[in-house]
Amino acid sequence: MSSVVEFENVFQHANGRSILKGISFSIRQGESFALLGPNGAGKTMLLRLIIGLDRPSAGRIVVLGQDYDRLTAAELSRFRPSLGMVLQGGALLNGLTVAENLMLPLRASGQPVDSMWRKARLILTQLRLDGLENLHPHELSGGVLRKVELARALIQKPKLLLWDELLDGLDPASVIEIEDHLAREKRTRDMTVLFTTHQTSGALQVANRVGVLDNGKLLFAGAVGELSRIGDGDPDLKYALKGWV
Amino acid sequence: MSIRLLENIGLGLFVLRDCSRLYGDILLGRNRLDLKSFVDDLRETGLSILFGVTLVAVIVGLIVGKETENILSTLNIPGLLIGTIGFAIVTEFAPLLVGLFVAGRSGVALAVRIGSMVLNHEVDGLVVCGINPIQYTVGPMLLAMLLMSFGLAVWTDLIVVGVTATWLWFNAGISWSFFLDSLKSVLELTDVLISVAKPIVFSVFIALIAAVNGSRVSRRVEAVSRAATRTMVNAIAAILLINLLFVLLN
Repeated sequence: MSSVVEFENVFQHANGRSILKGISFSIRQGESFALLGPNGAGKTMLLRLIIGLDRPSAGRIVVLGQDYDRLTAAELSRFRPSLGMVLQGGALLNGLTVAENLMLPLRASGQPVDSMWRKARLILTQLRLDGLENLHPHELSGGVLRKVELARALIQKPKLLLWDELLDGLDPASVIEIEDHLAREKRTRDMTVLFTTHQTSGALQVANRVGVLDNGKLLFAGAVGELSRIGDGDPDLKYALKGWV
Repeated sequence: MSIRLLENIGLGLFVLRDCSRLYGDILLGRNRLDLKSFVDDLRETGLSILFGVTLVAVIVGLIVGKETENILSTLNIPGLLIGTIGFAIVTEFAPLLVGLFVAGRSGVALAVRIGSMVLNHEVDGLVVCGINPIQYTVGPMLLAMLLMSFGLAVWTDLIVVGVTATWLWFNAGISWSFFLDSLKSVLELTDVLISVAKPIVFSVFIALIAAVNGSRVSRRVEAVSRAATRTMVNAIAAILLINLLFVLLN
């Protein structure tokens, strides 16, 4: 299997603080990779680097074969829609309706309005969000908002889905729906998923590989089954996980 | 010159370049103007301040008419007085009034909108979708500001001059035709064009100042209100400075 994400000794500094310290890991095609870690560990920053919202201070990042060091800002902007991302804390445009928000990634690729509407309706139906087309984000509950954000991230059928705080604010029924939907997407198009979460038990059911990030350092990256075995002998890892596993 | 100021100027130039590119693409049919945002911005930039601008213009017209009447009772030089005052109204006062209203309403609104979008990750969301945030922020707003500034400048000129002339007609016996002839004797076409062009130039700077301050918002909520006040203060300073340049170069 080819690598979809490759990090080589990546450092990120901001406001005089080291947020990521020498991160190296890779994610292969079709994997579900869960990134665990306490608040402030650097999980969100790692996702922002992958989507290209921030540039690393040092190190090399290759995503879907694109070496970010060699991409101009315009090239990166054109490449971004091949990735899907659900950002932490919203990111839907409040002035637009649900359907208009869903059509944003399609507008970037200049698709006709009819086609965009069809795709928006289809993804809403798939995620059981029918009838919300003309509502605005402020009219939706937190859980429904998360599902609409997922719909927007998936509408372009991305090869890599990034999700910051997966399952955050979702009720158990929605969690099962989303897990089923992601499993279907992975089966049918071999989509790779990288997500961060605090809900470890649910995440470990979805993920087949896991990374543990603490204070900007990647303490572990490997199969879910290895985590508990290695964690027992590694005090730092055990402390970072704080009995989650 | 501090690095921060240089960064802000650079950011402003990037915004100006991206807006110009967006308008060029729209004209060439390669991009679409977000009509919904544009109509909202037209309403916010023009219609929402029309009443305020009109009210202030009427008040100023009345004050200028009354003061001119007072001076005319001691100095009987109506042609010179009306020409001088009319010239000041058309070339200086009306453009400044429009600039200040646009800064207070549209500039602050734009800074708050961009700041809130940064805070709510909406700007990140647009970038992730492969869309330049300019399309949903400064792009439609700047275009609306340019159009409405032009309209408001003409409107304010007409109201102030009209109210002043009417006051003097009723209270000092100066006819409309005499008033207009006195104005014509001092105003050239270039003066009128400059008076209409000034608010348009002000609008460009107000939008860039708002965009820079709005996009500098950090994760704290109070940063949005700080961006709003900073935009107002910076915009007033910019308007006065640009007006001074117009005066010196004319």
